[in-house]
Amino acid sequence: MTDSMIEITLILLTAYLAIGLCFAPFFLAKGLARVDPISQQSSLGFRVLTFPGMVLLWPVLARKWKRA
Amino acid sequence: MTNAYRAIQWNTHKRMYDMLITIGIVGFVLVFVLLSRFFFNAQEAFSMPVVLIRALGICAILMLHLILIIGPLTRLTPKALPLLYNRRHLGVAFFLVALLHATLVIGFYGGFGDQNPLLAVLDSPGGVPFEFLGFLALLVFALMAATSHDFWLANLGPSHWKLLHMGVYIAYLLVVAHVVFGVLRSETNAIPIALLSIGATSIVALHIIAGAREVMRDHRHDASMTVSLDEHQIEWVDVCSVDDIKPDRALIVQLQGHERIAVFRHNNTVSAITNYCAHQGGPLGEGKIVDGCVTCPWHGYQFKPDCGQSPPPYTEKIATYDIRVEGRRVLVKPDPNTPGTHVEPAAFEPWVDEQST
Repeated sequence: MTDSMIEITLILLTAYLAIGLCFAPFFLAKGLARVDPISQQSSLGFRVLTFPGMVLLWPVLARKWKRA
Repeated sequence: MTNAYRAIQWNTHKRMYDMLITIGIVGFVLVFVLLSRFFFNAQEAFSMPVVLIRALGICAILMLHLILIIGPLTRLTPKALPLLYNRRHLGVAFFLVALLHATLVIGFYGGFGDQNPLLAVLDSPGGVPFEFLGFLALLVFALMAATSHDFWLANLGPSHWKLLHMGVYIAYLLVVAHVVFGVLRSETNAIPIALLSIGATSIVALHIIAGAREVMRDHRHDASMTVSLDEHQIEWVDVCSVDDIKPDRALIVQLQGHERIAVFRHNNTVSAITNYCAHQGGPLGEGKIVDGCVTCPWHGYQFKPDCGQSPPPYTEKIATYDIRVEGRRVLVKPDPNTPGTHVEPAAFEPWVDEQST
């Protein structure tokens, strides 16, 4: 792979994760209970453990939230 | 089972298992470091970070092999089931070890220049970019570890979740390439490649053997129960005798063109439910009835045999099948009911010796 390809890949990945990092706290605060009502009674530990997945899979959750 | 999510579903066994994993990882790394010092070649400079990078890398690969053989092993022997119950914890522990390996690599090999450390490592000159292959594998493992909680299973759906986690096989190929090209670049010793070949061959062989055994079992069931469907069998299909089923156990039947059905026998009645657990598609028919509930052999999810619902407060549901008994023959309708539909268990007369016991 050329230098520029790796650089572009990393920039895109960073941008994707940055959006996820902005989205995840907002989703935890507002969207989680609407998307999955069971999670309303869940603990702080649950929120901490699922946070990385929310950063990585933010488009999936955003779509579910929109439909909820 | 879900009525509220817990951070980690620990119980005594899982705590013990996690403790063993931790002791195993720490012990392996310590022994590796000590042996490296003992067998240290005086002509080379001993570098603790490099030894740690290798120790964590090898530890991660060993854990990955163990994870990949657990599935087929449980198809071959039920003794491996405790490993399966705890495989997710092993998977997350493996990811943390691999992440530590990658962090040390990036810090040690890329952290001293003025370039972005990650870019410096991925952009290293010469040959196949094995670092990049390892990085891609780590991304897949990160996705898997991050979605290992039941929340993700419920929100992605079992099929999508399973598909995502089947990515472990692609990641494994990336890891094999990462190791092979990495070792080829710096080592003249053939032992690492030989060991990796043995590991990869073992994984492939176990999957083939377990798959072949499943196919043979399906053929055996087909031959013994003659459950191919014709025009006269659209409604009720004779699948077995009640005497073919052990008490509180099931017989798995596969009707032609339909999914597998688990026919359970409990208290002189029989009930038919889908063979696929709502959790991760585990083989319910290989489980048994515990406290009046069908219990999945994979993760212990429970369902009532008459309605396919998990006992309150849990909410999971599986499909049931209409069932009746004629004499001692069990007949089921091939099409499943909506998950959670109540079907009265079909009663049968116990043998006289069964009544007296």
